[in-house]
Amino acid sequence: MLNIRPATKNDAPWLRNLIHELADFERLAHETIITEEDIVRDGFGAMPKFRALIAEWEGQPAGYALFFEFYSSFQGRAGLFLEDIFVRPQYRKHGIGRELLAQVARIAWEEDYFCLRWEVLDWNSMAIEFYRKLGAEFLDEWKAVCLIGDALQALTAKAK
Amino acid sequence: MLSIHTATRDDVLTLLALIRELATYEKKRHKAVVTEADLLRDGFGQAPKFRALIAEWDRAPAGYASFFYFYSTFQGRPALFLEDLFVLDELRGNGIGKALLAAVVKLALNEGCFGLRWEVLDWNRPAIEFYEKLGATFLNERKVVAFDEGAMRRMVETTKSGSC
Repeated sequence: MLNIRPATKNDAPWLRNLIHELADFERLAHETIITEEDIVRDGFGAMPKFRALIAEWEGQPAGYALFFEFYSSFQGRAGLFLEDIFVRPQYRKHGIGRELLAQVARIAWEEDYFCLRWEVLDWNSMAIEFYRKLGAEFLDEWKAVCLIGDALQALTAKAK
Repeated sequence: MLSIHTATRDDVLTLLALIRELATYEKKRHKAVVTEADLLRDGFGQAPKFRALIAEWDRAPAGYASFFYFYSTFQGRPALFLEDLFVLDELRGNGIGKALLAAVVKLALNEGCFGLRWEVLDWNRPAIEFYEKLGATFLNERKVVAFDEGAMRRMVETTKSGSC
């Protein structure tokens, strides 16, 4: 049986494990350095930087969703950004991912966010098909960009 | 002369005008429904949902950057998400965009962020080249996905579970 509930501080060790399993699946394990302490500090302190839901199947951790607020200057409203949604391979085909996504959509809907937004890797065709069937829109004209590492320092070094 | 300052309540009308200019440039003017009241409430109240920097050139508004925290579960640290970066067309070529971006990066570093994230329109060649020159990484394998209000509602209505 499936049970989905908000994550608490006690879930930090499992959240850490699940995040690392997602990173393995996304072939990004080498970029994944989050620790249990990071999760406790950033998710369950006075000013949480994210919220998470844990899915349990017959009492065992089966997946999670993790999200936070973002802002649209064009809308003049906040949306929810779904940073991660993941179901462990051995628990797939039980509708757990759909249920997790529905619970996050419910939170977004009930808390009056104007949209739920996330990103998917272009080679993850199973996920893309799953989202498409649920009525998601692919904002293909937007490219994701980041500035990290040495490029950050280089840019500020030039600024007075 | 260029000067950059943190936006305050007094800048709301300037900010609104600049957001509309950006929307026009991005061919999304119809989507920019933001109002002065929205910006006051969400940017300058008790728990601001975004921050902004205003750039002035010879004391007239020239551009802006708006941003907020974003979290990476892989890094276990926040980044700043750069929602908008914009310089008025007639004032480009003066290094204003670069100075705005550098000011945001400086804040990100001071606040313990691991980096900056943003999105660019795939047809905006000048912006893409500008970011490339600054050493930005294009996350080309990432597709941006969204449920609008209709899709959210359908998802909620077609799922029988109670709220958790």
